[in-house]
Amino acid sequence: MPALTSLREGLKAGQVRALAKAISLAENDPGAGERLVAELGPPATPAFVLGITGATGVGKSTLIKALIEEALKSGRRVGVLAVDPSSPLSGGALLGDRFRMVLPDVSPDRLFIRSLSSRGHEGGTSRGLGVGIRLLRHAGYDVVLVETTGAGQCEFDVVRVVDLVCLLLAEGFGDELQAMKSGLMELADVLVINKCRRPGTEHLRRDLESHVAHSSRFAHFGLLPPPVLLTDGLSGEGVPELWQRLATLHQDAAYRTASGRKRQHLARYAALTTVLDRLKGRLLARLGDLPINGDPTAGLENQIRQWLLEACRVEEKEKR
Amino acid sequence: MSTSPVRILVAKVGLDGHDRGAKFIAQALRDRGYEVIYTGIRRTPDEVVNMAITEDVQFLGISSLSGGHRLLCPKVAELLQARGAGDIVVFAGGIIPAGDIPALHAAGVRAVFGPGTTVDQIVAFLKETRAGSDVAA
Repeated sequence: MPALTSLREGLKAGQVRALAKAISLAENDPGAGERLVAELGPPATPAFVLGITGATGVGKSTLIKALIEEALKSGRRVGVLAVDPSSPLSGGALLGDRFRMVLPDVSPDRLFIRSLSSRGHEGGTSRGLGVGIRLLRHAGYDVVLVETTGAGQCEFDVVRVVDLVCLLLAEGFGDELQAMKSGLMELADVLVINKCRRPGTEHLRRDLESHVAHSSRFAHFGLLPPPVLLTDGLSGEGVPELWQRLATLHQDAAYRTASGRKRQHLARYAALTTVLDRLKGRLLARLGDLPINGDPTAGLENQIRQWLLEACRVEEKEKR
Repeated sequence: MSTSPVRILVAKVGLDGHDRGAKFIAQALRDRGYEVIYTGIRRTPDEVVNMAITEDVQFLGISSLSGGHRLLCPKVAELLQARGAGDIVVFAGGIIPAGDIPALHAAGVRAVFGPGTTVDQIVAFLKETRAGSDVAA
């Protein structure tokens, strides 16, 4: 790890490599990352931070590529943070989002893409994400796109760190009752039916619009019901309209107040769970070091005791 | 920091579209606890170096099966140096004739893995390199 002073200087000089190293610091040592961004102060320019979430394979990365192109067209500098899950078996990860966001002629100065492993965090994001967003903003990226892990119902942490959340759905999602369930569905600012050229899209649109129009959940918390938009990320169909709609919502002061209310509710929830999360990444990094007894039919009690002891050792170290 | 996962970019450079090996290695290293980013096929040296820098990887592994290694591997190593990222360790694998290996080493490719290499051998290389040893495979 480079000395903090050279990291600070590199950030000040706008070096891409320093930014990348600073994001690593936020991932590896969230406390140190927090201290670093606190020192940097507030970013000089306003930014638009957008979260893209939805199930595995629904087209998040591909839609993000299309949104990047829209943002670049309007002269913005774009930062992307794309989270993929870490393995509960090895702690490793295959980070495959940027694979679909290839824009060969755009330099990192205008488009900075960074893949993050969730490192055991289960809310669809990673612990370093919030600091990563602030680092990108500080470096002058005025559009920041966040891609969550594949997300269904419980992975809603992204809502806390972005301005707006797009929930991507596609034909096959299910009926109105699925839309009535708690979690992500009640927190998204915009519902997007992606892969909209598939048959079944219109049916889903009717179900979602009917749900949005008749549900009391939005009004109860002072929220505005989300619009339902159609896109096809691969061909770009509907993407300029989505981008426009998002930009308009982002500028809307009344909407901001309403979504601030949502954030208050979520912050209360988050405050209670932060403590538990803190240790998780550290513990997961030890996963591969803890041997598993070769005999799968042997009782697990002894092994579990040893693993717990190791976990306690890490916890003790963290406390100090 | 010893408890931080090691990050590796697995890259396909040039027109070579054979990526079964690259995907195999990417998954094998994931299963050994590494954070692996895969570039996809047909990337330019410039793109690969940009990815290595923005992803802040410690290693960059280039998979080459169709003969472009003599040109492309040195180019990647050279660009990394030029961008102040010469500390990122470059290694290569695939179909690379033994006679080409000394020139690749001289160009800054730390290790070359041919057919028959085991995942254990690659992991041993990664661990030795991390530990500061300069043992080449």
